[in-house]
Amino acid sequence: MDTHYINEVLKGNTHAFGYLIRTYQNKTFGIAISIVKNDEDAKDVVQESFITAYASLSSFRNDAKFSTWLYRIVVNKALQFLKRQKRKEEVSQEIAITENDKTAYNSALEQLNHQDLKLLVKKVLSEIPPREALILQLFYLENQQISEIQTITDFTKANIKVLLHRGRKSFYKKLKKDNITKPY
Amino acid sequence: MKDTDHLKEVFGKLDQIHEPIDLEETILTAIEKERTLKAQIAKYRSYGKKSLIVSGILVAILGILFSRPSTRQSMEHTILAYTSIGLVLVVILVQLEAGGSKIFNQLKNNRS
Repeated sequence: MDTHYINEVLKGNTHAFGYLIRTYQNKTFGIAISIVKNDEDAKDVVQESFITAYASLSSFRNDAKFSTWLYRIVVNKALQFLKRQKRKEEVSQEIAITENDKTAYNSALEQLNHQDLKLLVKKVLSEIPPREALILQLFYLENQQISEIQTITDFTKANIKVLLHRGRKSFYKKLKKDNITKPY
Repeated sequence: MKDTDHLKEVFGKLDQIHEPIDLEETILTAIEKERTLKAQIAKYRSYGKKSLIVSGILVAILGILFSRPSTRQSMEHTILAYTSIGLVLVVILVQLEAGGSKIFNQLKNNRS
């Protein structure tokens, strides 16, 4: 489906790009916000990314997935934004997480209703370091494989695994630090 | 491994954690704006090239006119000088028009 619209755009039909925007704007927003941590900045990143994607669509090779190619642009733009802001990545505090803690939080998470779970995950992801949040977002929410995450982020496989491990740890640490078993 | 699967299960329940956004119109407008801007730049570039060519031709004509022997009668010399000045003015006007100069546009607007 994407290919059809991409070809239409390449033929000069700008409005065909609207389909690609509608399809991917929320997913790209999720990725952008996991890095920049702010709604308005994430929207700017998404907008900038789509404009770049439109301008360089002719360089997109159909052997790759459009989403992977687009996500890569978004990640680059968001990381560039962070660099411009010179925002330092937070280092997660040293809080010990035991297996018992994890089990307790897992069962607490299971009991939450959909809306509360959504709010809780959103809150936690907004407070953990950008790269860890990005990997959690891509792996868990966008269901990307490690190899795809590697293409999107340009991180090494080992690096991704480390960030995923740290991300999970930070996720539980955040729950423990804020003593969250219920979000609000 | 057990934790990974568990978090996957928890996150799997969620489709989208953020409020949906609608940037379609904003992005398409921005793209259109950029396209117009690029087209304008290309237009000015082509004007620039044309005016460079015209300038080159006019300068060559001036060169030929001024390089003629100055032993001619004074009337002929005067005509030559005035023609040259006229041509120089034409060159300046062409360049101002092609460059879309602000001063020139202002003068045109004031007249109308």
